[in-house]
Amino acid sequence: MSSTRGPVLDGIRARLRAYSSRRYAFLLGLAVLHLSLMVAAGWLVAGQIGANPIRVLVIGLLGAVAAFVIASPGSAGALVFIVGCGFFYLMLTALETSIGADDRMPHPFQVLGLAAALYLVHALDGLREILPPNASIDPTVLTRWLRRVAEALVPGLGIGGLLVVLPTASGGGTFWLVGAVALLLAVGLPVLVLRPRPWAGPDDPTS
Amino acid sequence: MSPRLAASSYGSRPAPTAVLVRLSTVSVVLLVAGLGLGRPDVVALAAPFTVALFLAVRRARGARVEAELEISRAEVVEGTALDGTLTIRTTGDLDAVVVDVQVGIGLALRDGVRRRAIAVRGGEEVVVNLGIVAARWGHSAVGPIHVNIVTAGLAFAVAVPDRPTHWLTVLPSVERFRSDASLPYAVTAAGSHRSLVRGDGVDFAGIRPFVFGDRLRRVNWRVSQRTGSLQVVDSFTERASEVVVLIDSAQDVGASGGVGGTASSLDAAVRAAATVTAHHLRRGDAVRLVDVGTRLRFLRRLTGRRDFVVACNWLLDTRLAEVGEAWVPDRVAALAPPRATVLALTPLLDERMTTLVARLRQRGQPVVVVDTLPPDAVPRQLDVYEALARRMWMMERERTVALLVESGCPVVPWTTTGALDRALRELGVAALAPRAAAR
Repeated sequence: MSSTRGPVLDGIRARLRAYSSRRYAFLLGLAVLHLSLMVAAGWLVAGQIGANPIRVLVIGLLGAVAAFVIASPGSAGALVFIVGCGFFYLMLTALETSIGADDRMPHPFQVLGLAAALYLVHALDGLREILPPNASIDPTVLTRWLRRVAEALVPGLGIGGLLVVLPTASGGGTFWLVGAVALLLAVGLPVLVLRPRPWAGPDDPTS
Repeated sequence: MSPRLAASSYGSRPAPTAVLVRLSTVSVVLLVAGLGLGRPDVVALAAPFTVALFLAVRRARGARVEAELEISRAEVVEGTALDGTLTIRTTGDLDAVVVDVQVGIGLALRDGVRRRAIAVRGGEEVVVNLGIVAARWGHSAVGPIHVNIVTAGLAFAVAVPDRPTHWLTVLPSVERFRSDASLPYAVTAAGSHRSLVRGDGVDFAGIRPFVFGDRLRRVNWRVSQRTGSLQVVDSFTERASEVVVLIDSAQDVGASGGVGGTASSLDAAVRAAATVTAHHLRRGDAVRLVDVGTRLRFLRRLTGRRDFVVACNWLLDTRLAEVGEAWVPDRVAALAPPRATVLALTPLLDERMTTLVARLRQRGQPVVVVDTLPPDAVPRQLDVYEALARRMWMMERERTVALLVESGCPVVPWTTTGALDRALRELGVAALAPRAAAR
């Protein structure tokens, strides 16, 4: 039975009740975690510069993209945010170096922290995209997602740590070797996957 | 095991998703920038993305998925669950399978969850019970069912086409109704209602002198000895009657909440028609079904239990129709045989229906009106003017009911079947009462 305050208020109340359910609380928690990771990544990037106006500008731009990512998971927003973070990181560290502030070069843990935050932003965006609202979610989906993230993040951070530490010891040879192999993989694997194969049907077991 | 009615399967290889595109784009951009500027820290940022890309492509190579949908029954009764399953077989280690089930108006999901995300291990078969319950009579659709399967760190998806729509027939539920009330007029040769015709039967009619052809076992020896001449026991014959069920589908008032919830006027009419038809066919009576909604529909004369299925299937098409033959009371009155009992299932909102009932009563036809207006159909929270309008409408409605009752037509609400039984008894008693004849 509708109350005397009108159907609009009842509708809003019903919607709020639905959003406060456990399922929506979980999805809201994921969104909050996603936002926190983007804030952490933005903070690490903006921390590379001492000038406050540039810092505010960077935080503002990344914040706008982060808001878009939170609102529409699965869109190109996450890609823009991650590439944007990389771009600003590169620009700000180069700017600090150019004015002679070599002592402000990022600590290896800062680099690895930023790498981890950016990868988690990417992985969470993928997870939020496939989990539809008002869905019943099997906990195994989440544990498997965590395992996949760990499988990529741990070796990735290990290699990244070596890259950040080793150039000074090996004179840069390892950096170029690892970088070239990684670039080859990054270009070659998508080309292999996305190449047109008109001879292979969807049920071709040999393909 | 119930026979498999509908099944469709599909197998497919994984295809890249936006996640893979993002992995490769971020890797390439950061690696090119890092190598171009000689910055190991920028290459380090790309490292997790490149590792994830490598692992995703490696994992997706062996993944294959087959999805199969099975629905085992095409015809169910309201309130029963369907055996609908989605079977997923895979050779790879999948991350998630998102199943989105769409059901028609008359169907409901048992736990109310339309979408579910599940995980499937490599090589195992997962059977997803769709949990569909037939909630309301009618022709309802299951599907299309969307299946979205992602694997290899969400970087690949298996393109499974939408499962096709399956149509189901949900028959109206029949309430328990057993009435031993005799209908006023018996018209056909054999049945269970006492007729006014005297002959072979059980109900005592009187004692009369023996005539040639009477059976010896009918001789009442005690009366014969007292009177000195042979007397036999006379009885009323038992014959079948004919029932015309009028369904007023011109309005569907009230919320329809399925078999366990609230019933709209059309729900009540269809369920009452199914119940009454089942009862009278079981007793050997003939039943005619007439739908007097926006359009006029009628079904042939039904006799015997087997015709109940025909009646149920015909009732499923009872709905609010915007097009159709416009009917007039005289046209419908002509469809009812003169000595048939008429059960009018109506919310009493259409003036034509009231006219039709009055016309049938003028002909001397026994009519029972079953009021199908649900109690919650009348609005409660009203302002002063709406409350006044409601009072006027209620008074007009009470007057209509009073006029119908005055004309010898009982009006009973379809709340319990006992009320209908009582009304049928009233009709039977009224038919036996002496009446004035015009000379």
